[in-house]
Amino acid sequence: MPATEETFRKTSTLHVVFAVSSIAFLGSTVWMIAADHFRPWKAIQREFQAIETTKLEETEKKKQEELLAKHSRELDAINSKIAQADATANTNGPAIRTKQSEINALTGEFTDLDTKRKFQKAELDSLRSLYDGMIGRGEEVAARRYITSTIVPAEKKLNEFTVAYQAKQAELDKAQADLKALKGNVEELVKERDRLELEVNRVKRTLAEKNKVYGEGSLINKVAAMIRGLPGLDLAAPPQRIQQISLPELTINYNFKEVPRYDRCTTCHQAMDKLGYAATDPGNENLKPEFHSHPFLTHGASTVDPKGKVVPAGLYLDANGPHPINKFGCTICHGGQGSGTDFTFSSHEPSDLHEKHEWEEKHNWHEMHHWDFPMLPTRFMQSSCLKCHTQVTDIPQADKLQAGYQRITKFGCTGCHTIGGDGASGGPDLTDNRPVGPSLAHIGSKTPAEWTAKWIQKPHTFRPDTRMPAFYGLTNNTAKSDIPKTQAEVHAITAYLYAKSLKPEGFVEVTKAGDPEQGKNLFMQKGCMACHSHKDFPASAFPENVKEYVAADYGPNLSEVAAKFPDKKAGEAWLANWIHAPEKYHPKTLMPNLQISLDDSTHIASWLLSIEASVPKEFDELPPVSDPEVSKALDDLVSLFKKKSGTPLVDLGATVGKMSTDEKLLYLGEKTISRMGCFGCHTISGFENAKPIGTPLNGWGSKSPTKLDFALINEYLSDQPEHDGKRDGTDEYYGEKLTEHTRMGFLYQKLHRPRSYDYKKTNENLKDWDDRLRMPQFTWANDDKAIEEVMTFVLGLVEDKIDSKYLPNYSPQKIALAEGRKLLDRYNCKGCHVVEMPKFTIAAGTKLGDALPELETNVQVSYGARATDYKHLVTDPALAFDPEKEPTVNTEAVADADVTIEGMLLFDSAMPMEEPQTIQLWQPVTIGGHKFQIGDNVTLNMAKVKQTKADGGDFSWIFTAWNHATNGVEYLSQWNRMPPPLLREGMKVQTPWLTAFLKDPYPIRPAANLRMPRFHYDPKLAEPAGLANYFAAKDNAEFPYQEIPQRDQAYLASKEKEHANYLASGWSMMTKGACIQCHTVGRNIPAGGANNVNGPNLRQVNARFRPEYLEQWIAKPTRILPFTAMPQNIPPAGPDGPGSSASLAGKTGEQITALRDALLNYSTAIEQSMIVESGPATAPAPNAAPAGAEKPAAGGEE
Amino acid sequence: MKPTPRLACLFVGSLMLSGCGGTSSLDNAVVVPDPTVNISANPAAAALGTSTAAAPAEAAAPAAGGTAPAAAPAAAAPTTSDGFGTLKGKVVLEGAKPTLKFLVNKGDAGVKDAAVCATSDVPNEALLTGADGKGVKYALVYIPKPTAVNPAAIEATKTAKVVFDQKNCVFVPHVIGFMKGQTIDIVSSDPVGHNVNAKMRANGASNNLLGPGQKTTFTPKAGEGRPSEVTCDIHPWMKAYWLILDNPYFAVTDENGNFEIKNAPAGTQKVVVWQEAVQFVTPPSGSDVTIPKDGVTENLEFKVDAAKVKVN
Repeated sequence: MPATEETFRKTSTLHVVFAVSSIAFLGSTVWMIAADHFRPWKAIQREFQAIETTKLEETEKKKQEELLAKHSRELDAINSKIAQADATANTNGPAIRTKQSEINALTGEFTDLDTKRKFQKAELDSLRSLYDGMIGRGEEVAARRYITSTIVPAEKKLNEFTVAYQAKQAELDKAQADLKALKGNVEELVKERDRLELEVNRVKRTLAEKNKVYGEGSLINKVAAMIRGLPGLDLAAPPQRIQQISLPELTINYNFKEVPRYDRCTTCHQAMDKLGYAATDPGNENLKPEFHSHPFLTHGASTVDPKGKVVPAGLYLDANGPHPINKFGCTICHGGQGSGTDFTFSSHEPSDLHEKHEWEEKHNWHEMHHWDFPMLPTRFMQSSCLKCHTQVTDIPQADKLQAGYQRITKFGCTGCHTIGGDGASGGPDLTDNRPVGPSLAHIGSKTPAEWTAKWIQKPHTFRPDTRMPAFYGLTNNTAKSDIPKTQAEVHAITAYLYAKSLKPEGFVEVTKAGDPEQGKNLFMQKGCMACHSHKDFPASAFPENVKEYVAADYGPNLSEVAAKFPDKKAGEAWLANWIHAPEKYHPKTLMPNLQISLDDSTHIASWLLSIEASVPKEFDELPPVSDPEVSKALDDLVSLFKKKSGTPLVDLGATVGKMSTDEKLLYLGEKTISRMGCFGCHTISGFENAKPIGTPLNGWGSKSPTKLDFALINEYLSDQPEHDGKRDGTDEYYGEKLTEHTRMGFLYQKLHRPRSYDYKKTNENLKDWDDRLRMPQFTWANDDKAIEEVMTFVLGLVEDKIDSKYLPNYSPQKIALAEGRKLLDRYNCKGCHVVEMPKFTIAAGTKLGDALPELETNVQVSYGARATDYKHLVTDPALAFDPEKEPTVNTEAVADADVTIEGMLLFDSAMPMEEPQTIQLWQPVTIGGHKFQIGDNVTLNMAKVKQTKADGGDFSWIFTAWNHATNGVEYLSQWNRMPPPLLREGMKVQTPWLTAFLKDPYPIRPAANLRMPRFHYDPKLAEPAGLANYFAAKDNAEFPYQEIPQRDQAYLASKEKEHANYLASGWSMMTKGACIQCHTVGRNIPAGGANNVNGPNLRQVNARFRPEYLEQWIAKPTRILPFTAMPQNIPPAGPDGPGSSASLAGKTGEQITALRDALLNYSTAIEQSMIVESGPATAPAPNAAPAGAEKPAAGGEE
Repeated sequence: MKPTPRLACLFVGSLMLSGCGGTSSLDNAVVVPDPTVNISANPAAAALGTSTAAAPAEAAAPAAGGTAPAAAPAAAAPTTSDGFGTLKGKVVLEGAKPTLKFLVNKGDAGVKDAAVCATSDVPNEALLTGADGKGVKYALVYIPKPTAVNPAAIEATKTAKVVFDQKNCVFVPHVIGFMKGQTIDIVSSDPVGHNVNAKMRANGASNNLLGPGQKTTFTPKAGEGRPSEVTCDIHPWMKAYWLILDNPYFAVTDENGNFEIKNAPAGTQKVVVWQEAVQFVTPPSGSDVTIPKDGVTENLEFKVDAAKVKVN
């Protein structure tokens, strides 16, 4: 086909099209560039750069001022010296030039000599190797000749060169020094000035660098930055640029694909990791929040520096801390779209409505519906800790998360909802959590069925703070037609429970009637109030300073317990058995065996039952099954379930009609229990292996909101009347979260009004009775704080894959601490035991004399008390004692930092708190330069200190104060009979002993007020060991085992060499001294009965105590346990311990050691002393007595 | 002033100590003798004080000694314009006296160290009354913050010898008062060990073992402002109280509840009365009492409410 000029389209038209599209293309390119050029983050960066430059300039000025203030005189001197030196150099010009040329010449000669010397040395080395060769070949004669002929002259020559070289060097050095002097020694002066100006120069340099980048400072900088920032040219090094942290291992799940994470947050949040930008720093009052730095940049964590010292580090972003910014980025904790550089697209999330409205106005913000992981609002910030810190208790700082964890554990959420245990999802494994409700396997022997039915119907009416949630009376079952059904169910559940109830095995008959009066005393004395509250012992009945400890809620409030029993006699029998041995009723109960007699238990029971219960009237509103409506409802429900389980419709009427009421009740009861999941919290016969009924919560925090059924929740809310901005208690914030269909909104409402998602769905055409929602409503459903705690935890249960290098790498110590905290809570150890003493803080800036009115006396007495400390046991030089020295303290001085005094207020009910109070120290503290030691007292003006409650020991605090105020028992004497505070417990006891003791506690101090209970540990979990390890870890002590070198053969042999019959003499001191007046030692048992015997049997000491602690304890007990009744038996200055051997006489320190060693080698000590006293049993002839018998331990006579 | 009379007092004091054995009238150990009065001149009076309940021990000496007991020190002392007077009065029980059980019954073999401790009945000294059944023994009367202090009174107190003994497992005497900087002797007349656990506040806790027959001393560095309980934890029924003040104005009532504090600053003073069984009889900060210059307070009586008695 011939070529043709013809085109398919008209060329001129195409030209036009081409031209137009080119222009459009150009236009859109320009538009694109322009749009890029004007992106909002650039403006923000420019704004920040200006702020930063100003700040740097200010800092420079400040540093300069500081420099002048501090070193102005030195600087002036140096500067004038430099000037002088310059002047000198000027006048010495010719001389300097001469010197310089002299030096040049000398340098030449010097170099020449140096070269010669080096060559000669090489020459000599090669000659020597020839000699070595001759020796090797055995040519000794020739070799000897070779030495004299060749080597010796060569050595001589080298020597000459070396001498000449050294002389020349000296000459050169001198010339150079002369030159320096001629120049006025200016170099050193300059160096010195630089040293002084170091900090100023550093700021100057930074400023110069920043100015160059930002285009500030000089005109050149400005022009250069402008050019670099021009659109199109800004590819290279623009003054404003996106900053990103790339995190290839912290991937994001983009549905089916894990992609690397890029966090660009610092593009705008420029000061996040910079010091000096905290909102609280001076001068930052007007700094915009986006330019604030992150909290905890410099404190909150610790690290080990290259020298091995533990130094503080920033908890967040600090390169030396646990979360360095370049390793973690931002979104791993905060959520949001890290790659976004726009306010809305990065998925910011307001924490309240005020913030929301502000953002909408300022940033045109709206919710990003298509990003599943919006930033966590501030109120739920702690959720994300759970991603990596799955133990929860390893980060006690995250208080809201802890509270959520505790609430979930306490209220038994895990009874229905699985948390953890699948090995894949984040969060802790709570599948081992114990069911929180009482066992119902023997309910028939305890409460009457009537009461139980009413309780099931309205538990909160009877006991407002109960853990049992409400299943009835909720939004989806209070319609008029629903009520008979709920009542039928209540009766049915009860009927089932009672039909299946068995008599508890092991309950004994209670023959003696209890005495309520004794019971009331025992209730107080035996520690019931560590776990339970009672209306007869309200907080108001206790002294002011302990009222806050009267709040036990570990066990139920027992005020109305009398209502739970059919009659007094049956109640007393049951309660007495329960108090005496609760495990017989419920083997897994958290109520420990208190190790009290059945009689005492009966007394307590009888008192509890003597308090008349006041039960609200509405609790009793429950019609019987015979009520026609209830009975009809029963039939309906039985029919419904029968129908559902396959009974043909035609037979239904007949099947149900054939059943007796009891059969119907049993049938419906089983169905209902299984539907409601009662067995999640209670032991119920027939449901031993039932599976929990709730949605597993693993990964719930990252569950897509599209999988949540919001049903008609918005209608529900809008149909509720508004009250104070809330609808049915749901505030506007959560209302909006629900409208926006977010996880947060769903979860809130689920906890607040769990059944409201059934709104308008209860019609039987839509949902059958048994398809209605089952989640019950807890007593804290109206407490937003409680709900948010739980939400914080649940929102943290996300299914993110976290690379192992991001997970905390804990030492065994930290693991033991985290585990121990859980156990401490699980068994409520802190109900009785103090773990940390109360704290009294004197704020920085307070005049010492104001807060400590008797400071001078306190210091003098404290210093004087050091006289009776054993010097060799005092390692801290700040605690040294010199009898010649009088300590001084300036009461006018002002505390430059907060001073925290940890100790026990010596309570005296007669002295009002307005009077100065004495604190007995439990931790050392330095005040006004003087270091107070444990056991010293300080006097405080309570108006000038901030008090912090003790951690733990609630019962001990209330009992000691109460018994003192009510019965006049001296405060500290009472403390001696209380459960011991567990401060320093890890330093005190051997971990294996504590483990064994927790499992099988025995009375240590016979006179104690109450005994260590026997807890019902989970046999699978090694909990006693976990607790024992916790205490060791807390005190930085070795665990689970530690060495006891005092038992080594070599050690004992060396001691024996020094002191014959070493262990026997220790034993003799114990048995002949005061020890046996309070302690059982061998066959010496102190008289007076348990009430008068304060000291433990010393047999157990060798398994119980750690050696270092034991020595300190014997030496001066009050330095460990300030209130102890144990006296200092052997003061350093004497007198000697009675019964100490001759070789120990006068050596009080060694007597202490001997006592310690005898205690640690108890059986050996007994054996040795038996031999010493009576000789071996197979002693030969009487006139040949063994050597030991010749010299019995001295001091045997009194 | 004159050393002789003081020595004589000491002598008498120690005589009384050794002479009176385990009887309960040993309060002389806390006598704060007036240095101007020559007791030795009238040994009969001193003996009377220990052996009969006719006159309180403290009062006995000055009564026997003359008519102007405070004259000499008052003249020598640099005084304030208000001058000094004598605080004198009585602490009485109001209401029925509760019966107190013996702490230890004689011959009870179950008691710790029975051979020493159960040689006689040990009465509970928490609330003892005199012959009239009213006067309360072992109450402490003191002025915690006097408006002026007479150096003579300090001198008199500081030089008095205070002995705190443990005899047959009883602290003797049950209640003592002494001053900051004053050294007291702590002795044990028993062949068994005791510990003296003094639960002081300002002076810190002090708890030392006192072996058989051992002696020690104690000098407080600070005034306490309120009585401190002293116990022996080996023998839990043993209890005593120490009042350590930084001024000399304190007294322990005698068998009949009488007390007398000489050379006390005239004018209105806050006087505190404390008794073991009821703790503070007055408010802890004290009640106002006006002490006449160079005179004696008349009809001063403090009532201990029997209903408030707490004894354990």
